[in-house]
Amino acid sequence: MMRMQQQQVVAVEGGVVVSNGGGMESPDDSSSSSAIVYERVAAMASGSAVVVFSASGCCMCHVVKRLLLGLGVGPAVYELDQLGGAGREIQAALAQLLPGSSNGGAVVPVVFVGGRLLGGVDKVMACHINGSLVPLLKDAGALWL
Amino acid sequence: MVQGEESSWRMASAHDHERAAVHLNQAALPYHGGVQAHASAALPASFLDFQPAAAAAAYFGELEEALIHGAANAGGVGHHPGSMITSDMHSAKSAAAGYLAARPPTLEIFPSWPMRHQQQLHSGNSQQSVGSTTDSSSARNTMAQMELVSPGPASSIRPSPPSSSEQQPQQQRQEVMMVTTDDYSYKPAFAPPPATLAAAPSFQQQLQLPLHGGDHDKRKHGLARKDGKLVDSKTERRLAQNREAAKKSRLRKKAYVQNLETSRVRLQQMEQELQRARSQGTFLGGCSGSGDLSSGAAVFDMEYARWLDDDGKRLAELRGALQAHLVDGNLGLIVEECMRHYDELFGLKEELARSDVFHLLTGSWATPAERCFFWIGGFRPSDILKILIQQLDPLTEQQLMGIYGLKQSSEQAEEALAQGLQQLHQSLADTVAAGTLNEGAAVPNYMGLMAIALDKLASLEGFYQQADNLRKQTLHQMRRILTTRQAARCFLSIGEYYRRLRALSNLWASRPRE
Repeated sequence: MMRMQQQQVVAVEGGVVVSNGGGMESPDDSSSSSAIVYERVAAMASGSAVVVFSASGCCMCHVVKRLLLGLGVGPAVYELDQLGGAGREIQAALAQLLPGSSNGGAVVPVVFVGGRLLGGVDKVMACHINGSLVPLLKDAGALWL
Repeated sequence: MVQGEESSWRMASAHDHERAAVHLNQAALPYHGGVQAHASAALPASFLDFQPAAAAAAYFGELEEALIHGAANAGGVGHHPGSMITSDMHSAKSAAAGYLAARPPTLEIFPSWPMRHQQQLHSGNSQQSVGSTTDSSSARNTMAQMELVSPGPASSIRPSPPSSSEQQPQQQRQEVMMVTTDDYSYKPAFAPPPATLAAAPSFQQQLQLPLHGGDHDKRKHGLARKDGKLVDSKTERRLAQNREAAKKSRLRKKAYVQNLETSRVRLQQMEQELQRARSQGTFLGGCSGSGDLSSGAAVFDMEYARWLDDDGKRLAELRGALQAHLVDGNLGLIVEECMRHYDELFGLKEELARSDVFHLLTGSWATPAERCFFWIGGFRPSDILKILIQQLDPLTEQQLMGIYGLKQSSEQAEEALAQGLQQLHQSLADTVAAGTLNEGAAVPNYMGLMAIALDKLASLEGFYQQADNLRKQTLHQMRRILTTRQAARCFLSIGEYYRRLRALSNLWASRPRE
């Protein structure tokens, strides 16, 4: 569902430089490069109390963003479709982390709280309903009340 | 000089005819319907004994009303068509009554007017004299003629052709006949059954003939200029025939409309029966009574009917258990059953969402009253919570906190989902409306546009799933907050609430309507 557009690489928040060497790995480098991607993702996720990987056209991502903003959280949002090749890599990595997402084939949105993976929109909703989301956010320092 | 007057009059009256035709447009269509009705419906013979002289006069009065408007604008004719017309009406009433008695109640395939009589009619309605009598009478004639036959392809033939005094009455009649059949077949709204097509045109043609009468007859300029009273008996007879035909058509229209009404009522009753049968779970699998159900939708409807049956049993069980004050353990089992029952419904809906999400979203599987409260394909969690909070009265402090927290969380989640859905709608609308809509499907990127729109539409499924997920989570959380006994009462309340909504829908469907 996401349409990846060829755009310039944007410098990522948190000081991690995203290189655009995405499509050039040789087969024996793939495992190490994916490890690099995972590290990158982890680094991005640790950059803020709440990190949301999203896509600019995705309406479900809008839902998650609205929910978090409504709670008073200021999440760090990465629009993967605007990150070009790096975005695609990250999306692939996230797909591995979150198998069987229910968002009609799209991986995003993916939410990290306190550097740890929370999940997709259904997980976020479930956590919110059963009352575990807000304490989690408070623990991570995203909410102060 | 006379010629000049005549031509100017003709131009003016042609203009009037158009204007008055607009007035009579309303009358025209039902009139046609009436004609149709006679052709298709079998009417009793006593039909014609019906003496609506007043009705005919009233109808004719409307006609004359329009005529007065038209004739008054004829540009300084300077006569008093009104007085002429009212006097005519009086004579018309008596003529109509006598005339009615004389008419046999049969559908006349061949016109009953002998040729000689026809000619008299023609002569009786000279169009050439500028007298007010013939002005209004022929104007009225043309009016009636235009009301009978739609201003379609044949209309060019009718309004005042140039003076062709060489026209034989025979030829005119022929022409008139052709006009009527043509116009008849051009009436798509009243597509006649082929069997009656033969009968109807001739009937209509019979109506037409006396009315078309002397319109095209330019030979008789016999009548001198008159002012005021109508003296000509031939005109009077023709007018009487007009009125009789008008009355007949009016009655036929009435019968036709009554027929339609009874059919409509019957159809409504059948629909209600079907609705009732479906909601009570006697739905026969595979029968697509309501339009085009996809196979997934049909299966779901069947399963849902079965689920409703089960639901009824569960409710009865719960009620019995609560009254019997069962031990918590046993009650707990029953409550678990209920929870699984609801999960089963969510599972059914999820399955349907994969094949036909729109059947779910439109709510055609639910009754109308339930549909009022629909929110993305099901109940709105916070609505249910509001109801339950009132029902579950003795709650501990902690429970109250829990429930209010749950209500707040579900409200926040609902809000987020609604906003996302709104953005999806906007995005879909923007995609479909991309480019210029004026060019239709000739826009260069049409297929690409459609592909993008398809994707967006597909994401509706995701929203539906999230909404259902929210409902399920809310119910489960509810169960966790409450004690066993309270949970039993909770499920009983929800079940009864929906049962009442369904009963309300049934009552609504079967309420008497005048």
